[in-house]
Amino acid sequence: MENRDIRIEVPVLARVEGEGALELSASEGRIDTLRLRIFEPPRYFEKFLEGRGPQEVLDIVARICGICPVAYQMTAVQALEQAFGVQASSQVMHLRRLMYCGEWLQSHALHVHLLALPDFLGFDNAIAMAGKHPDAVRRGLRLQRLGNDLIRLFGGRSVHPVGMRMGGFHRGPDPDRAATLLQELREALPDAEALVGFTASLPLPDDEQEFVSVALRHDSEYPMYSGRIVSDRGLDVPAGNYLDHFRESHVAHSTALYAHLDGEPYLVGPLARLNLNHDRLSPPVRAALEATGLRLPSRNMFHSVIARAVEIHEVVLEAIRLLEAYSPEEPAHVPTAVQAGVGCGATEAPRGLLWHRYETDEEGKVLSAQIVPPTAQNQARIEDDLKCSLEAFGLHNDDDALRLRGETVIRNYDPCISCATHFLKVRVERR
Amino acid sequence: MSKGEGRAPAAWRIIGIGSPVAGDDLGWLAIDWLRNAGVDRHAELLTLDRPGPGLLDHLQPDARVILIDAMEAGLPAGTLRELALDDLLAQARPPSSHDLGLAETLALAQALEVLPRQLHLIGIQMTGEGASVPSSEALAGELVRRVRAMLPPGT
Repeated sequence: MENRDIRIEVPVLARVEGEGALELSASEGRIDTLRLRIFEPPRYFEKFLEGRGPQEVLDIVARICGICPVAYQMTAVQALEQAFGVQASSQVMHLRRLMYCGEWLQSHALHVHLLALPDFLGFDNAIAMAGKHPDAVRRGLRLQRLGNDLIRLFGGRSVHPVGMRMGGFHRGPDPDRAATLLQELREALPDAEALVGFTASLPLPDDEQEFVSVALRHDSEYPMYSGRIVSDRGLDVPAGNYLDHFRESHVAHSTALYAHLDGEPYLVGPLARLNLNHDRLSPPVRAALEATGLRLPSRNMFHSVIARAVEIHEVVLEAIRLLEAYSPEEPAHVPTAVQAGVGCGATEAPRGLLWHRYETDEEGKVLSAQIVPPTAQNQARIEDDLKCSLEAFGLHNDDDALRLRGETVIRNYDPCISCATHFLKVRVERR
Repeated sequence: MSKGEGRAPAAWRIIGIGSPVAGDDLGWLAIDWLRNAGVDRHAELLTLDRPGPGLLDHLQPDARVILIDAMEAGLPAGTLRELALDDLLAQARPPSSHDLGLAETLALAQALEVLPRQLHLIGIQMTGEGASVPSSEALAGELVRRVRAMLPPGT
């Protein structure tokens, strides 16, 4: 049985964003070829940005993704402010981090409860799961709504928000709405804390692998809006040096670019962040994490769901802290000017490191733009993971079981293929 | 006496779904037409900007709800249709992070037992060209007439 020739196709990958497929062929118990095919058409956003002014850039990049528009706006504004020599105030930095907490909260809550949990509790999808585990689904929806409310506090709306501008925000959060949200976040704290233990108690597969973790690292904060790009292999560079170490390349079977760090696949996202920054978690989150017995750094990609829960706990606490410190009297933006220049931005989107580079003319209009989203950076790692995971799972399993495990592995990365196209249909071929 | 017995029934809630951006703004336009016709005196009117699962916050078993959304059914632009819940639920796909549409959200509401016992669904055929349907008194009038027919007599 183990030596049969295998060919599995998953022609449409479910519970992920975008259009992609998995093709796998194996013989004599080993995988010969494995391709994560991304066939969603290229979207040419980098080209659309050429000739656009800074505010247009902020509004356009928000359209790259309906789940992480804030990440694109934050990274763009950071890069452009660097190009223009703008220094944001501490008030603006705190408000940006607060808004970003909202995006992490809504994105992670949705992924953990509606997309990942069915895999680990044995359901086809969240709708099928909701009848048996309504409280888990309701908890996810409550946390997600809170995240969206945080984004709306700054952006006017949670999808493609419009509140950001160069130097900060068009206006600061309304104090009354901020106070209401602060109370709701305090009430959600027990949910967020319990989620850490809940995810750690799930029957997660034991699948240790070798991989390189890459994330931002900040002097004191759990990384989100700022920090240096670091890896667990000694890399430690500012955002401006990204291209010295990371290379994007085309492959024939994907419309998304692949990224490598010094020639090797690498991981970005919650588990990479946690592996590299668990000492930056706030004390209550560290305590909740220690209570689970999880050892870090983890080499089990299935621990990503725990990492997301840890980050949910962290951002709820962080948002409470930032809202308690909010001073509506302080300006929500600083004066800005434009100039010819080059700027690079790196922030932590919910799915991992997001990097932008802009070259501008003297009017501040974009001459060239480069955007490297997290899913593109994870693609090579996902293929490596699939090969290791499926061989460890055992190719003697039937096609349906292999297909499900393959999809579970991919969903673990919460890939956003639309953002990367630059998701999943599976094809397994046994020869 | 059981909980809720003897209370007046909840007011009707009419929800326009979509976004303020042309092409997906039919649910929002519908709420404007209903407000202009004075329906807000008899029902709560609200618009939701691409709510996804956030729609569940507005659904309870004892709520009485009319949902209005743009639809793509291959009909002439601006065509109104009352949709059967079962037909819509049959179209629900497994949710993805970016794609929790109306059918999936209502299927989730059903699984969580929060689906309103009185629920009407109205779809308005969109143009498919990223533009609003041509502003039409006839369309607004037909929508108001259909909604009033769903509400108690005298509204």
